[in-house]
This record gives sequence, C-alpha cells and structure tokens, in this order.
Amino acid sequence: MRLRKQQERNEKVNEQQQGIIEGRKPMKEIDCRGLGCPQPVLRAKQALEEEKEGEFILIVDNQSSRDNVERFAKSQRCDVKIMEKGQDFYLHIRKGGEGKEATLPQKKEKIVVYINSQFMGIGEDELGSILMRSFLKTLIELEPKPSAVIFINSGVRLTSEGSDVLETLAELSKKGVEILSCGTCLDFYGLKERLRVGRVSNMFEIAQSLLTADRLIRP
Amino acid sequence: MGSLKTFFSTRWGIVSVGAFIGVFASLLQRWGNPANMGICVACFERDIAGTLGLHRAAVVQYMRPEIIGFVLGSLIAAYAFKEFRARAGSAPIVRFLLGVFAMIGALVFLGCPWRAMLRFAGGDGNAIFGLLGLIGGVWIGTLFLRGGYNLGRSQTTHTSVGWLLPLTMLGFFVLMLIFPQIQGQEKSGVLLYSIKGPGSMHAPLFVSLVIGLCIGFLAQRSRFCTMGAIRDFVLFRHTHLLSGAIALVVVAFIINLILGQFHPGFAKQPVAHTMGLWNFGGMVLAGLAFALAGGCPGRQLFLAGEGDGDAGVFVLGMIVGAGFAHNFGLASSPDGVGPYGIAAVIIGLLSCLFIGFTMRKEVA
Repeated sequence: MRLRKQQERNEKVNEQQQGIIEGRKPMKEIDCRGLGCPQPVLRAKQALEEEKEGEFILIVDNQSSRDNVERFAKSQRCDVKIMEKGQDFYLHIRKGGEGKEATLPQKKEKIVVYINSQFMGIGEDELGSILMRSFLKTLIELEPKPSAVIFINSGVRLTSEGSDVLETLAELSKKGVEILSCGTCLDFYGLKERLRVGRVSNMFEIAQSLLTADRLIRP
Repeated sequence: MGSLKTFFSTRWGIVSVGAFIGVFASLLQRWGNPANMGICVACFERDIAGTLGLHRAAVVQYMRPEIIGFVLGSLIAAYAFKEFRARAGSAPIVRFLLGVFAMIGALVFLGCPWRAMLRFAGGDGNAIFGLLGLIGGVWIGTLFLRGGYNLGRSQTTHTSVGWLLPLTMLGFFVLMLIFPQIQGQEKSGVLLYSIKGPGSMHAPLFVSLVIGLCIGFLAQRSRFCTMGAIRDFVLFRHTHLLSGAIALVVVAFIINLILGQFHPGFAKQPVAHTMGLWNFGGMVLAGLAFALAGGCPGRQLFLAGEGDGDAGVFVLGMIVGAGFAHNFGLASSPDGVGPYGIAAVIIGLLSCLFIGFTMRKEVA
C-alpha cells in the first residue's frame, strides 16, 4: 500500500520533471532512498564524474543526506534545487560552468587585455592617449568582459595618480574585471605609492595569466 | 525555530556542538567521571554491559546515564524537528558483528574515537597512536566505499521498530532507579556496581543524564560524527564534520588546562597502556568497523535515537562485544593488552576485510 503510494508519487514527480525539461529525454534519476551515509554523496560524486550532461536528479529520504549532498554539490560548483515530496527530497543537480545545455551561456572564456603602454597605437602621443581613453571606456559597454586587464611598462601610468582614466578603470573593476599593474614598472616610474586602482601584480602572475588566457587582446 | 533548524547544518553549528561536547566532557571528569574519560561511548557501553552482568570485570560496571541520554536526547530532537523515521533492514547481522569488532578494537586501545580525542586533549601521548590508527582504519574503509562497498537499503518500517532501542535505554534507566547503587555493595538487585576502578567513578546521576540528553539533542541536529569527520575529508575533502571534531579537541584541551587536568606524557596515563603498536592496531580495527557501519559509536547512538534500527543493532553488537572482550581477556588494562587481545584484533581485521571485499555488489 505504502509502496504503491510512493510509486504514484514518483510518477507524478517524473511528469513534473519532464515538464521542466520538455522535449528532452527524461533526466537521469539516482534513487538513494534507504541508503545510509555516505552512499548518497558518493553516488552524486560518481554521477558528476560520469555524466556528460552534468544534470541529474538524486532522491534521498532524510534531511541529513539532503544536507550532505547539497553541501557536496555546492562545493563542486553545481546548482542545486530541492523539492520536497512527502518524506523524500528530490535534488536537482546541475553542473555549473562546463556541461551546461546549449541554451545556456557557454563556459566563460578567459579574455585578458594586455596594455604595455600608456598610448594606443604608434604615432603621436596625444592621439595615442585619446585612443586609449576611448578604448577603455568602450570596454565598459561591451560584452563579453575581459577577466583581467594587465598594465605593463608605461601602461602603469594609467592606473596611478594623475591618470585621466581612473574612473573608467574603477568602473571596470566594479564589474568584476581584475585590474593588475606590474610592480616592477610601478617601482621604476616611482609610482608604487600612487597606484589608485586595482592591485600590484608580479611577473609570475602576469606570465601565468597570459599563458592561460583563451584570448589575449593587445590594443 | 527556522534559523535554529539551519544553524546546525552550518560550520558554526557543528563547531559549537563539538565545543559543547569538549566543555562538558572535561567538566564531567571534574564532577566524577574517570580521568580522560569524561565521555567515552565504548567504555560507557562496556560499563553498561558490566552492570548487566554480561561480563564480570568488577572494575567496569556502571549504568552510564550519558549513553541513555544520548539516545533519548536524539529521540527528542528527532521528534521536535520531525525527523524521526523508523527504518531497518540494511544487513543487520553485519552491523551486529561490526559492532562487536568495533568494541573489541576500541577496548584494545581503551577508548572510542571520542575518548581518543579526550585522552589527547588531556595530554596522553598514547592517544596519538590511537588517533593515527583510527585514521588508518577509516582510510581503509574509504577504499572499500570507493570500490562500491555498501550494506544495501534500509526499509521504512513500523514506528515502534524505531522505538525499540530508545525504550531499551529507558528500561535501563528504570532499572537503575529500581536498583540504585548502594554504598560499598557490589550488587543491587539485578545490577552490578563497581566499588573500585573506573566503573566506580561517575558524576552524579542526574548531571550525567542531563548532559547526555543535551549532547544527544545537539548531535542529532548537527550529525556530529568523528568517523565521518575523517571519512568525508578523505573521500570528498569536506571539512565540515572535521571542524566539529577539532573543536572538541581544542576546547577540551583549553578546559583541561584551566581545570588542571592536562598532564602531558606517555607513562602512567589514566586508564591507558603504552603499547603503541596495539594502541594503533586496536583503533585500525575500530575505525574500519565504524567506517563499514557508517558511523562512530556516538553517531550510532544518535541514529538509533532517530529511528534507525540498524544503528540500534550496531549498539547492541558493541554491548555484546564488550562482554566478549572482558570474558575472553581481549580488553587491555593499564598493564597492556589482554592475553588474547592481539589475536582478537587480527581476527577482527580479517572479518572486516571479508565484509568489505564481499559486500560490494550493487544492491537494487
């Protein structure tokens, strides 16, 4: 009797699930009811390692397992939605970042902007200054945003006191763009104490950023 | 209530529960419990086995109200937060045997994981071998877990099934009231009472009971587990439960310092022996048995309180194991391991390996 009720309940939930993801094959379900610790977390881990789609439903029947699986999934940067159905909990787990569906944005590309001079382009310095100002301003408006802007050599004048793009850079920084200035360069120009936006970086970090970037922009 | 409900699943929640246990374990020693044994689930279940006459080691016989409190406190918490679920049927006989061997291993070391931590916090260097053994045993357990070891599903069952162990504990408590300890008497009705040794040392009954109830309540909410602390770290690099266990050690250490209960050294530590290898080996066995059964002895009591009949079977296994341990000379004493302790550890390890290797098929 109880069992039948549970089955009916499950079917209902399945329908609801399929409603959410209409037009696609039913989502993989992992039934961990009746399993003790740490089986539900182990199975979630296994599923995350195996699943290409990176999306599945895991069913547990107690709050302790629910919390454990949720904690684990979140530590793996997954989205977790929990539905309570009678005594059971349905955890809808979806990998964050890679493995998302086509309808969702792709994994964020790592774009690094490398600025090795306070001027843009080669020619008159006055023009170079105007162009650089304009380029940085435009970055605020455009998508996708770079993950970092690296200032090298005379580029560090842009991030230091007296620069006319400080506000623009502060705006970028607020939008999650990392503003990095080369420490050796700041030292060389005597600007170490006068850095006004972002933080000081070193060659190790800068080289690493350049090497691991998906795209490198050099204006 | 809502915020209280979620508080215990946070890092601060588990840390404060660990700290609470640390404070009161140290205080219980002050109030009468044996040294470095403010709370020891294995030792106290062994004392219960003793008072019931399942073994006749005269120095370790007392109906420890802390254990009764753990189960009933957890029961109260489970009902208060609608988490009581009667379930049973996940390989009970395996759980019983794991309980037996867990107890034998713990009594070769002379303490459960809680006491290993309390001994460490009290300055007993021998506990380091025990803790290393515990880590080793749990680590072996995680290898089995990774390899697919599991004991199958439990089934939802009659509510009264979940009540059996709590009722048993309640029965023990009633026995204790009917046959209270009589000064200088070894026997009171059906119960045996130590007149010397660790079994004769105990905090006042109601102090022990109330602290036991509070710990049972809090531990049910926070899922405090010392074996899980190590297991989750090894398997998933989770430090949630671990932070609770560490809080217990740190706080117990501080309170011991304040109360003058910290005595660093190896020799002549209270209720301990100095055979490093078997301090280690005993806890390897215990740790492996806990990992295969899914919880440290404390956690098994809390699970039993919230309706887990299989955890109840494990608890009974431990109590019976204590009987074997003392009747067969397996348990250690301050002089060293018992005459058959080493053989028992080896047999226990082989049995656990047999269980681990053969029970890995997917259970539908």
